[in-house]
Amino acid sequence: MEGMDHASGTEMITIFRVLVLARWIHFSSVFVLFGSAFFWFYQDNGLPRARCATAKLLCIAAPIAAFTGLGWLAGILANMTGGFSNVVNLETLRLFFFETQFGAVAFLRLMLLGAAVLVALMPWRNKAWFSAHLHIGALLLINQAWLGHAAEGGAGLLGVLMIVAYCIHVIAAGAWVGGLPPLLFVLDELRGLRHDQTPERTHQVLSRYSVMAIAAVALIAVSGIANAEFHVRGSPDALLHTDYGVVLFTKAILVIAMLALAFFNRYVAMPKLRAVAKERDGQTAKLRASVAMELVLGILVLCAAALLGVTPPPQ
Amino acid sequence: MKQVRIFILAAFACALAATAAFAHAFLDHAAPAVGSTVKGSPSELELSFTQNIVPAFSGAEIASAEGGAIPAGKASVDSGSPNVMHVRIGRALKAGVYLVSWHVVSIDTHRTSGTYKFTVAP
Repeated sequence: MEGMDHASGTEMITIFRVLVLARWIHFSSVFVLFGSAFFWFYQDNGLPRARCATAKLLCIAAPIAAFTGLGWLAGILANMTGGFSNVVNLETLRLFFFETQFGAVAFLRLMLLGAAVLVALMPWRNKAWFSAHLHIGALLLINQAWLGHAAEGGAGLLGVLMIVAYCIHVIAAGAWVGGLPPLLFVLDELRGLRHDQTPERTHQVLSRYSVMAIAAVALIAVSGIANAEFHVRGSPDALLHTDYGVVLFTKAILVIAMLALAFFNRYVAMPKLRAVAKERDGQTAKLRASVAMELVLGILVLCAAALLGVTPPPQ
Repeated sequence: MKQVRIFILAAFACALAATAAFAHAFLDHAAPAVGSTVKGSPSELELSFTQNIVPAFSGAEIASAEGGAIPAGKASVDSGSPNVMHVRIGRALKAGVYLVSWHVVSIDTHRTSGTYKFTVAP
């Protein structure tokens, strides 16, 4: 654009770091909005402390998502125009929102983030309140598809497939990773129950989460393969010796580590919980630690995803 | 056992997984071509990219070998070829070497830039 200041190399590195950091925190908070709310639609509602803790988490996640969403938008504008000094330029904003195909998408995203904050400010904590967060979170995840690579497929069948694959991938990932915080809250609340009740209820909660997670992982795998194929187009060698390939493999390793922990939780820790009565407290503590580690790995996966999105794929 | 197989398959599949990674538009070819020598002054630059671009945030500057700026118009894109950028050259180019500095934003919001040279033969 005429009259625009173009960034130095140092400023471009700063813009890159702002983009990655904003995207990482934003993805994490949106995953919470969707996945943590969704948790209470396939779990038993008779766990008031865990439900209350989830509500507090959602109230924190909504403004964080809004703030970092603005940061992401500012990073996009700075990257497009060559510097942060151009971000609040009225002409830049006019061109962005009214003369680009992603302007309307970004505007809708801002509206959804505003709605998330409004819902968080409401005093109710009933099913409708959780449902509102779930739906806003889902729409935010789907909206992302039109702000990235999935949008380049165009209006034809390929474009539709790319959008659908992306949406399935992020919704499934949001359900899996976003469901881990309330799962931890539940395990913590169950610790305070009578000993004879804890194993059965823990098993019930974990079983329901596992069913959801198995379905989510299967969808993540299928959609992930499709997304990868859209990039490498039958030439996986293209991933070698590129920054994109390094980040992608890092992400994949983290996901595999998460799967290993999930497998441990479901097929090792859970059966032990029922079998060995006198070591029950120890087994429950191990289970909580494992779920917490799975959550940490999930957050690191989102960091890799945030980095992947601003790294040029192989040409 | 069946569930173990599902997990192993899922883990293998995830090893190939990617998010919808965001592509960037790189210069595929240009007219005048990169590094080429042309007879006569071209009236416009035509740059073809690997992805569709957003003309509102794209453009190109032309400079002579001595560093003097050559007037250039705003970037435009044909609706039928949204990956091709046209930039009108503001005046006839004398014989010599010219440097084109381009920058584009692809439809997934990512900015790329680059330079190349071409020569106008005497």
